[in-house]
Amino acid sequence: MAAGGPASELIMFIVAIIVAGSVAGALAYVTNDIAGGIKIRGEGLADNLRSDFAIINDPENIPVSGTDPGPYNYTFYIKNVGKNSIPFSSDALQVFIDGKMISPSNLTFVDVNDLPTSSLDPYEVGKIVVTTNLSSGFHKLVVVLENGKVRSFVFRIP
Amino acid sequence: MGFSVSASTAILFTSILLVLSNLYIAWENSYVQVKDAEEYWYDLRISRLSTRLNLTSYSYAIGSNHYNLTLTIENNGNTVNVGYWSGIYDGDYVTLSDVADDDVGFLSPLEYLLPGESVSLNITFIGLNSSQHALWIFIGNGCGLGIKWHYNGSDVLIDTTSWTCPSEVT
Repeated sequence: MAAGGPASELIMFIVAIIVAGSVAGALAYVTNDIAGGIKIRGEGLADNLRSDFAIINDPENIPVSGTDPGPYNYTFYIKNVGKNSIPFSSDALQVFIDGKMISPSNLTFVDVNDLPTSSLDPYEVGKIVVTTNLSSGFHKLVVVLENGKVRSFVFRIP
Repeated sequence: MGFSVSASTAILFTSILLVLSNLYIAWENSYVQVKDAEEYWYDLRISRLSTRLNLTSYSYAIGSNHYNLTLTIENNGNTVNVGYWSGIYDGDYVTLSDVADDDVGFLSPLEYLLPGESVSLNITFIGLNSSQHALWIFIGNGCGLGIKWHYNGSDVLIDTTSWTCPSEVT
């Protein structure tokens, strides 16, 4: 009985340390999760603010190639006017013409020398070649980056 | 009992301090990053509002089967880096640094165009017919000056000039 006091004290101590340690561990886990989320959200928001691009075609003269009856290749020029490089591939960009999404298989992403490229550095110009059939008249091109940045461009096919 | 309480309290207190410091560091890093990006975003918008190029004059030389056109473009806005300019001539992309590679280029090399300064741009070997031609010059912030002209049989006439800047859409 004489050893009961110290033994129970020891058990109480061990239990208290285990409980406190478990709570501390759970807090650390949750905090790391939240900190990771804050970091990802911050990076995404900053990337969105630093990214920008412009569609720099002549709206009345879109380069087109191909033979009758089509489909034809329409070339659209994208200029990176932001601070960050932007991804330039069908995995990262969506292209819509008149509200219809162009299938990635009908999109070609190249630089101005017609060499394949996967990103555009700041101030660099790249080409999106869209393989489709467009009627005469006005059309609307919408390009969406993977971070949600959107630019639209109204052009005319003669 | 007393020591158990003290020890567990110390562990919990320490972990809470670590949690708070960890969260603060994450928030601080993200805040600085977003504020920096936000400042860049505002600067870009302000640069678009305070940039403007204008065609001030032009001259031409008519040959037997082609003509050459020289456009003088004045900067009526803030300083712009000419190295970031891109051109679209009759629908196709052209570099502006050298006239030899694609018939469009600056008369003399230039790095920056200060407010009030002008730069001359040569367009060579334009077919001697009445077709309308167009040149778009896009500067580093995405704004562009468009110039259209045609040859009327005896003179080269400027039809229109226009100015455009990218804008947000939803």
